[in-house]
Amino acid sequence: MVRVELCFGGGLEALLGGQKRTPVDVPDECRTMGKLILWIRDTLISERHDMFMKDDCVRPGILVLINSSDWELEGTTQYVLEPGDSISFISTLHGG
Amino acid sequence: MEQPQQETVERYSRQMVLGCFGVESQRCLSRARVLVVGAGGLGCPAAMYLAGAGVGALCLLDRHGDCVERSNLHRQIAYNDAVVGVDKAEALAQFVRNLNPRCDVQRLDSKQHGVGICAANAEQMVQGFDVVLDCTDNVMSRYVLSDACALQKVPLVSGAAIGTDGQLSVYCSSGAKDDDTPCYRCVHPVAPPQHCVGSCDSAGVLGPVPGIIGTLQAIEAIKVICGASFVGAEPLRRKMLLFDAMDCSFRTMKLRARNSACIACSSNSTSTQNRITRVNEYDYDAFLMGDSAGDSAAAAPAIAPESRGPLPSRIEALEFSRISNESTLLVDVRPNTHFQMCHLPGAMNVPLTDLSSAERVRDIQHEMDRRSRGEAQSSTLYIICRRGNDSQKAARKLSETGLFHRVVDIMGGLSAWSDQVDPTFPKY
Ligand SMILES: [Zn+2]
Repeated sequence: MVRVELCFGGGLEALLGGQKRTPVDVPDECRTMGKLILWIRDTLISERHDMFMKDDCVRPGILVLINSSDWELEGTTQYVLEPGDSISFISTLHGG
Repeated sequence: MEQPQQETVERYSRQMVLGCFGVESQRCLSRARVLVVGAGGLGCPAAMYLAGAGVGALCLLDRHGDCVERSNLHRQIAYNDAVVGVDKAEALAQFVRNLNPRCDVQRLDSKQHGVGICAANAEQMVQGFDVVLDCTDNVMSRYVLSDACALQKVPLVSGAAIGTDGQLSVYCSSGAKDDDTPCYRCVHPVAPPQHCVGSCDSAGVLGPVPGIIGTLQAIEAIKVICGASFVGAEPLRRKMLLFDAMDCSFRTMKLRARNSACIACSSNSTSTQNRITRVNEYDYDAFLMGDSAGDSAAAAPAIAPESRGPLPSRIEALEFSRISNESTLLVDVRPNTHFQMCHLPGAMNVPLTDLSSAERVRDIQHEMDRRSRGEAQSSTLYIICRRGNDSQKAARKLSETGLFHRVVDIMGGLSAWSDQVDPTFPKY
């Protein structure tokens, strides 16, 4: 198990009953970001999965951050979680 | 160096005496040409502060014929009750002209009703500006504007706000060799599915939130314009600010660099396929539909193949007002916060999203029985929403349960009720 903090923002917190920060223990076999996303879908999100995912990855319009860095800078789905990591899923806003 | 004129000193002294800013930065501002796209919650404070700061030319662009509404006033602070109904870009231009008569304020116009920035005009519109501010409120404008700025090498200060959240970043390289600023498309190569895009109109927005972000956009624009003369100031390039009003947190995240294969901003034009060479030649509708074409089809009205109950029908608001009485059941399917704000007497609130719950549907059945005193088998269930879209979906859904004798939805929703039946019922 690896303990990380998950953050949901930009409206995505609605998928977790309004909770923006959630500490979780991720099973060892789900330690890559790619697996973590599937694990979140299966264990934390109970409905409207299409607001979070599309074709086994996060849907377009969600920025994924690994400790405040764009996950593109960290290897995206290949990144291996470290204890204490903060992983954020932020929906892009368009209103003005 | 020549000394600034008396009026310049008197008007801008408070920022000119700032050690990091100084006379030279003020000169940069006075020579700058700035375009603000969108005259709403972000555009108002952004334009106001930029005019106050003394930019040389300030151009404003919004949808032609988009007028100030009363529901704008809590956040679009350049307007007041007296300008409700006035064209927004015009009203904002007037406000900033009064604020600083030395600023050359112009309103750009697409000349076409309902059209603001669009693929056909974007490149032409952004050409020759030192910085452009994206204060728009929709996905299409954001891509169009970013693509135009990427091609014309104009920095883009992009702000967005909804609910209690705000976001801010500076996109698009100025063309300098070592500038690895991404464009909007580098960060968002695929458009979001349409059903995941919220608007202030439907989701709501706390007034000061766009105020904060629009104000920060003015700061970023000033930093971009002044460059090195604003000593130590760094525009928010390759970073994004995330503002959350709920805990008053400002988080800055690191963004990816420019994508060398980006179809909008890559400098290597030969190796990139499908590169956008002209914004007006790119098919934005197809791009926005993207793979999400299926989603939008699902959202559009469609008759379910295995419809068990009778097909729902529709009725005019005026007609409904004539036939309804105390035994009529009207279900209002708007979100509960909307219902609490205003509703028709006797209406029962069951939000559209709750209709997938069998328990809530049973609640409707029970209420139907109670009101019709056992005559539910021959009674009609009426459905209403804000504008008549969700009520159609709800009516279809309830019809398909086969539990109701007849389901009818009210065309145009409460908005039509206000127009046809009761003008004192709030339109929002
Ligand atoms: Zn790009």
